[in-house]
Amino acid sequence: MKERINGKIEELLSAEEFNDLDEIVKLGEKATRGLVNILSKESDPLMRKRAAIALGRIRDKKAIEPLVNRLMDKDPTVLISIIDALALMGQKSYSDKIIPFLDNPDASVRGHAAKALGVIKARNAKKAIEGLLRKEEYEFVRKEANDALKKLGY
Amino acid sequence: MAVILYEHINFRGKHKHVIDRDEPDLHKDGWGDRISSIQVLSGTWQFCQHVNYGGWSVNLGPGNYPWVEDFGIPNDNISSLRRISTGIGLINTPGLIIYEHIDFKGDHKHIIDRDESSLHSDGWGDRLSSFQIISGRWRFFQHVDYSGWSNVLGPGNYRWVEQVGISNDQISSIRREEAAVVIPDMQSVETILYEHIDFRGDHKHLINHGQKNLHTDGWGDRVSSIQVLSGNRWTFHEHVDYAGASINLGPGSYRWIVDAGMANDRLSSVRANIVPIFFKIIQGATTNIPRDLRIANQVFNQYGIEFFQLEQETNNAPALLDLDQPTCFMGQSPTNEESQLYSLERDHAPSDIVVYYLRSTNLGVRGCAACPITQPGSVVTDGATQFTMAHEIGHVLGLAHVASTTANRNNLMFPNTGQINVATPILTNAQQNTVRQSQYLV
Repeated sequence: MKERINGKIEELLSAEEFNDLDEIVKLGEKATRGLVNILSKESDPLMRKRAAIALGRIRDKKAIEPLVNRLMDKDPTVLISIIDALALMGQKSYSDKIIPFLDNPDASVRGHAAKALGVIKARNAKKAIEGLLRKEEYEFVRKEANDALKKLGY
Repeated sequence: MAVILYEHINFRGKHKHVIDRDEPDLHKDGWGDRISSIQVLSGTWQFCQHVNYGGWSVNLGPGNYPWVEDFGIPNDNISSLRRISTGIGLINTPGLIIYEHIDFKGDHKHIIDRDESSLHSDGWGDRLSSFQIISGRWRFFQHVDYSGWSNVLGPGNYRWVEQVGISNDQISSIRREEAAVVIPDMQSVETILYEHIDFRGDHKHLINHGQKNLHTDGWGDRVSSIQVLSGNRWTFHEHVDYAGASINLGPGSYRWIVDAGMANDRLSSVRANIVPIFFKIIQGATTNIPRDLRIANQVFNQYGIEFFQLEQETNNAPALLDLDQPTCFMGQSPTNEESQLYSLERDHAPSDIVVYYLRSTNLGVRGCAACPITQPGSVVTDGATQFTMAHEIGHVLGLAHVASTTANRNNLMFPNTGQINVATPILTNAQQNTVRQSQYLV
C-alpha cells in the first residue's frame, strides 16, 4: 500500500505541468511521509519544490519539522515553496526561522519571506520587515513588505 | 544576389525585384529607361545603357542609391543589368514592408536601411494597414517628421495595425529605432509570386507566412512564376485552404510554374509550414534555446514543419522570475503577474507564439501553455527537460496529452517529458492533422 502511494506520488509529482496537485492533496496525510522523503532526498530541485507545495496544501502537522529542517535547501525556488508551505500551515511559532530570509541574496526569497511573515501574523518580525524596507531595491519585494506590515496591523 | 529597381527618386513609385538572375532587356516588361533609384541588397551588379549590356555601364555594390545621377547613371536610361560578383549583402540591415490593406494585401512598399520622414511624398501617408518587419526595431509616427504619437515594434508579421495600438491609415513617418539583431540560424523565410512568366508583371511577397486563400487579394489563379528565396518547406496548392494538388519547392527561381509541376494560373494557397516563435527570457532564468529549438525541429521536421525563431530578447523583470501562477489550465483567468508577463514589451505581432523562459512558478511547472488565446505562448522554467519547449508548443498547436502508458513514452505529448524514452519523439497521424489545422502553422 505504502509503495503504491509512493509510486503514485512520484508519478503525479513528475508531470510536465503539475496540474494534478489536487490528486496528491486528496491522499492527505497518507502522502506526508513520501513527500517528506522526496523533499529531503531528491536531487531534482523541481521535485523537491513540488513536494513542498503539496505538503503545504495537505497541512499535516507532521510535515512542519521536516519543512523547517529543509530551510537550508540551496535552491531558491525550493526555498520559496517551503516558506510558502509554512505560511499556508500558519506556523507562527517558526517565524524566527523565516525572518533571516528577509536578508537572503535572492529577491524572490526575500519577497516570499515577507509575505509569509504577514500571512502568519508574526508581529515579532516587524523590525526585520522595516529593516528590509529601508534597504530593499526591488519594488515587488517592497510591496510584499508593506503588505506584510499592514497584515501585522502597522 | 538581389537588387530592387525603383521608378522614381528616393525609392519611390513602383519597384521591381531582380534576384539571382540577369535582366538583358528591361523593356520587355516596361522597365527600360524608367529607373531613378536603386537598392543593391547583395552582390555587385552592372547597370547598362542598352539592352544586352551594351553602351555605358556602371557597377554598384550593396547600398542605397536614392538618385542614380549621383552615381554616374543618367536618369531613366538603364535598359539591362547583370550580376558581376557575389559578395556579402546588407546584413544587420533593418528592413520592413508596409502594405495598403489588412493581411499584407494591396500595394506594398519596401523600406530598407533608411528612414521615411514623410510617407505622403509618394502617396503612402495615412494609407498603412499592415506591415512586416523583417529585421530591426522601427518607430511608427502619426505625423510627418517623426511627430505625434508613436509606437516601437520589432520583427514580426503585423496583419492589422490596430492590433498593436496603431490607428488604421494614420501613419505618416517611420524611423529606424535599432539595428537588426543577428541571431545564428535565424533568417526570414520568403517567397515572391509573380504574375507572369520570367518573374515579370506584378509581384507579391510572402514573408514568414503563407496565405490560405490567394483569391482574397486577387492573386488566386494568377501566378506564373515563383522565387523561393528561403525556407525549405514551402507548399503551393491548387485550391484554397492548402487543398488540391500541391507541389513542394525549396529555394530557387522557377521562371515558369508549369515546369515546377503546377498548372499555370491555378495556384490558390501557399504555406511556409513554419511556426514562428518569439523567445523572451526573464533575466536570471536558465535557458538552452538552441537545444530546445533543435529538439523541437527534430520532432516537427519529421512532418515537414519547422519551428522558426523570429527573435529573442532578455527582460530585466525580477518580479516575474518566479511567477505567481497557481494553476495551469487553458482558459484560466491570468494572475496579475501572468498579465504583466504576457504584456511584457509586447513589441511583436499579437499572433506570434511567445515562449517565456523564467526560473519557476509557484505551481512548480516545467512548462505551461495556458496563455490567453489572444496572446499565444507558453512558460518554460528551469526545471524543463529537453522536450518541454516542444511539448508546450504542441499544446499551443492544439495537442492534448496522450495517455500515460508505457507504449506512449515515444510521443512528444507524453504527460511527463522526463520519461520520454526516445531521442526524437513522434506525433501520431491524428496529432499531425491537428497541428496542420492550427492557425499558428503558417
